[in-house]
Amino acid sequence: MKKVLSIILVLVLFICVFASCVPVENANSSPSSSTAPETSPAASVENKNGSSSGSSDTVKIGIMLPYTGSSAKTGELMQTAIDLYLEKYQSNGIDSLGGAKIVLVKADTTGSPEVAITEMERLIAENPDMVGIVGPYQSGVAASTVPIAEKNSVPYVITGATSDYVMDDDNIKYTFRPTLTNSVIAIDVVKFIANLRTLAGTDFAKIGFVCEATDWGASVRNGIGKAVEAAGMTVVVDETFDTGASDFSSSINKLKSTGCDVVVTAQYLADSLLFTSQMQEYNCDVPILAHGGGYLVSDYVTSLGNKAEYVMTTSGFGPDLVDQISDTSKQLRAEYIQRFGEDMTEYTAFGWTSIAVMCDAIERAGSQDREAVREALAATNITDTNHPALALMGYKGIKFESGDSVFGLSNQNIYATSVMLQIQDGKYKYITGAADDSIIKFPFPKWSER
Amino acid sequence: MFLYLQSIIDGVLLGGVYASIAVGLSLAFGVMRIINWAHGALLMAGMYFSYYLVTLAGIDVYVSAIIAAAAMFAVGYLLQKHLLHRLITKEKEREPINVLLFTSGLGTVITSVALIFFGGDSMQANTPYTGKTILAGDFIISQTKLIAFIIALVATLALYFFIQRTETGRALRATSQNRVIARLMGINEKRIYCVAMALSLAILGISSSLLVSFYPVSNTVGVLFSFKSFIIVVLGGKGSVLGCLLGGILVGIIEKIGGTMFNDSIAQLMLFLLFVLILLFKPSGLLSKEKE
Repeated sequence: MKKVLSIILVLVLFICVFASCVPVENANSSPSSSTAPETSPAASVENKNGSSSGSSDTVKIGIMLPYTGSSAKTGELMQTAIDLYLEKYQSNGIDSLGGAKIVLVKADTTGSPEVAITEMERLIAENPDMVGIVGPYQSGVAASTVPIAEKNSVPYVITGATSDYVMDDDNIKYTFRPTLTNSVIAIDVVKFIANLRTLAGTDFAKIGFVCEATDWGASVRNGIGKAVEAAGMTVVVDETFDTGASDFSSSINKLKSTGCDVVVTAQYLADSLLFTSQMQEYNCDVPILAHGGGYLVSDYVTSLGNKAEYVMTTSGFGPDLVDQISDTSKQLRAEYIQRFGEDMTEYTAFGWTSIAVMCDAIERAGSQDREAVREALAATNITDTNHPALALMGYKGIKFESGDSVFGLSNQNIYATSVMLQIQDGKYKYITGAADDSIIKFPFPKWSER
Repeated sequence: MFLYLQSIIDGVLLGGVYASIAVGLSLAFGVMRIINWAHGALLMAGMYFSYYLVTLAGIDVYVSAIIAAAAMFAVGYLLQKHLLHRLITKEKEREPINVLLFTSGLGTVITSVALIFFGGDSMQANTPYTGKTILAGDFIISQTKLIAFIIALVATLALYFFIQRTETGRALRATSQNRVIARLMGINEKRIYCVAMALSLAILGISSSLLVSFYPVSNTVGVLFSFKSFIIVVLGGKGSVLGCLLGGILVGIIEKIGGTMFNDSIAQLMLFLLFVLILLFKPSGLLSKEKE
């Protein structure tokens, strides 16, 4: 009996070990993955070690996302958007290449810069016919992989990385970022706080920061901190913490005791849940103005329910803004909700926009030559809001510039802006520039009155 | 001054919960010389268990603590009896290095399995107690943390009296002092080890439910608390239940005072400095009377 039990226990352990080796994209059972198509009909997908030789009737694009690890959910949302774009707009292939079909070659960054470097080098070495790479998620991963793309002269379209330093190198030639950068967010935040001041009708000048202690938190603190100080406001609380904090009571007590007017946060999901819960627990009525992160993950609202109400956050994307872009965009969002059982997120828009920009450049290049694709990317100038690349972001256009017009960065989209959202009735509502309480709820009820 | 007094209240309450997490680790080390690297992962597993008891089965979070304790007791007993003991006997009289490596692997497996089944995102249980506070003058006392502190204190003291006053407790202490002589005195070493691991995880089960009432659950939650547990075990003395309680409260207070005086990152740095200093100058722990 003892032997049998021991064998069973060992078997269970073995199953667990094998299970942990299953790629998350297949094993995950989140609502979006369960309904997502396994492969887009428009694009065939090769395995990591795929070795098909590219031919003129296919166009190979590398995709680098976190398919496993703690950002697997984000990677999955981005991949779903990429597949959806290819299904909708590239089912007939690239016209200028005689209808050549797009083939995706995927690599898993796991959210780790070290892994991403190795994976990108492998992707480039194994696929000499690959025209370019789309990805990754996270600024740290992007910053570590940009030099690899540049060294190998591979066109690289950044998917989701907002830190300035990713593109802060004058030698960048092959990397392009169609989405926003933190400096844009900093300017938009200052404008937004000025708007809050008008709405509140009080002197709104004491700003607090409760930011995590990595590159992201530091860039938020430095970028927005400088911008608010330049605008005559004072930073009264400046708290950093290691991600996965066990308690925020010290920070919250400081926010209360200094009479802070608004707290800017850079926090991932676990920290955002704890911070908001404790703000309520300690009756701290300082409004939260989040720099995206955990506050934009749908689980934030579902986990916290009413406590998430009135929280404001910056975003690269507003779900209800999509409906205002065009009828096609509105229809696309409705179809997405129906098909995947959840609304689009910033990550959907990031994935969609980056693959659309890459496909647009290949189409215009009319060639699989990397240099030709790079030149086409550099010449990108999309201003028609009916263009599929602008279907989700609500930007005025996509045009890459380098230098002073884009905060001294390189190949940055000059039109990329941020939006402000507020959680109202459990939904993210677009509130940029809102001047009355029919759109923005501010000032909002104190915790004790809710 | 008010801020510091409030920090002390927060620190003591949080420290009590830290202590209840660390006491299981301390017990396993004290009795079996096992450094259980899977302690954090098992805490995470307990938290998911309690989370689903609360959210899916609608069981009160404090009732779930009893169920989690019973379930984890069984897990601890079986784990020790069928897996760990096998490794310990092979190691004979030496320090059980293989067991250390095994628990490290076990922790990774549990964390990976949790990622596959529950995903990487955090989840917060909304219990009827979550977010409630008690006002004492101007001071704010979190109701969930106060209840957690009291239960953690009772559970830790109960464990202390069990070890001090019962026959099994005496056997546990004897084995921890010298396993060879204890065996010669007729103590069933295997059974005692199973009881020690079962008790270690049972109290961890209680702690995991207490945490669910105010802390989000995720597959990486164990890392944070196991790190703090190691600091507490070193601070309080390996194997000492009361030392753990003192160590936990001390860690809570240092963390909160440090956070108020500087910020949370510096407070964590202070904890690790303390950890290094204690290891250098009083490695047997604060309450130990041993000569260094």
